[in-house]
Amino acid sequence: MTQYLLLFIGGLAAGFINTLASSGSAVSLPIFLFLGFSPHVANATNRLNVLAAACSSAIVFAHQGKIDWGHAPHVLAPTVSGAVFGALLADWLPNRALRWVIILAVVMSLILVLAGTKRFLRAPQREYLTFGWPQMGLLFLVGIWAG
Amino acid sequence: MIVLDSYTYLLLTLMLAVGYDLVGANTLKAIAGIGVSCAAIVLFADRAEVAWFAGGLMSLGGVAGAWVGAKLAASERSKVWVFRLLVITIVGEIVRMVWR
Repeated sequence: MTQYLLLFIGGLAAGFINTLASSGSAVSLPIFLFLGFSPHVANATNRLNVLAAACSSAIVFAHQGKIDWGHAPHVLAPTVSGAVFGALLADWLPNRALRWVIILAVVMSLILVLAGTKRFLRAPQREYLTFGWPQMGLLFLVGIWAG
Repeated sequence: MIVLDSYTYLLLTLMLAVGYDLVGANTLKAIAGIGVSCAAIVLFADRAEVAWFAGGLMSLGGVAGAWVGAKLAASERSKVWVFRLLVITIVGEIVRMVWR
């Protein structure tokens, strides 16, 4: 019973944090590990919660008319294809190489944040896509590693 | 091992490289989250790595938490706090990586 409660409350916290900012998995992943799931199962199962929370928040945002539907395909295409590519790449790359990819990704995010103090104007679509695809490939590698 | 959530990068990319504000980036992050997690679940389910009952139970909480979060995310006042939360997350991750 305590385990069920822990899962529910963990999902609640992770869903809340994921919607407002990100990194709600920092709450939910340790709960799965604490309950004795293997890192692989924890990582895979955690995606169910991410999906449920994303659906829930998307419904609220859509209801408020806040979603830029016109550009949704531009975001979906590179992220989903990157995710699949990343999953295949993660199987193929040795762990040492993966670690370097992850360090590169975190350093890149720091550079992005520092550069972002002066926010860029909306970039042309093509430029975003060329930037977005390899970036999203990295994203999923990080997601895989998170397990 | 937990590393910086991939959605943090997505949020940063949408805001800093594409030029969305926080609310706009957050809504597209939710859309991308649906697509990416669907793809991931299909891949992982194929390897029989998904614990459906535990995941389903957590998802019930996730739906409720995200619902409240989404209602809050739209308000102007929350923006500052969301940005602070984001900076804390990234700095925390870098500190942890240097520590190792």
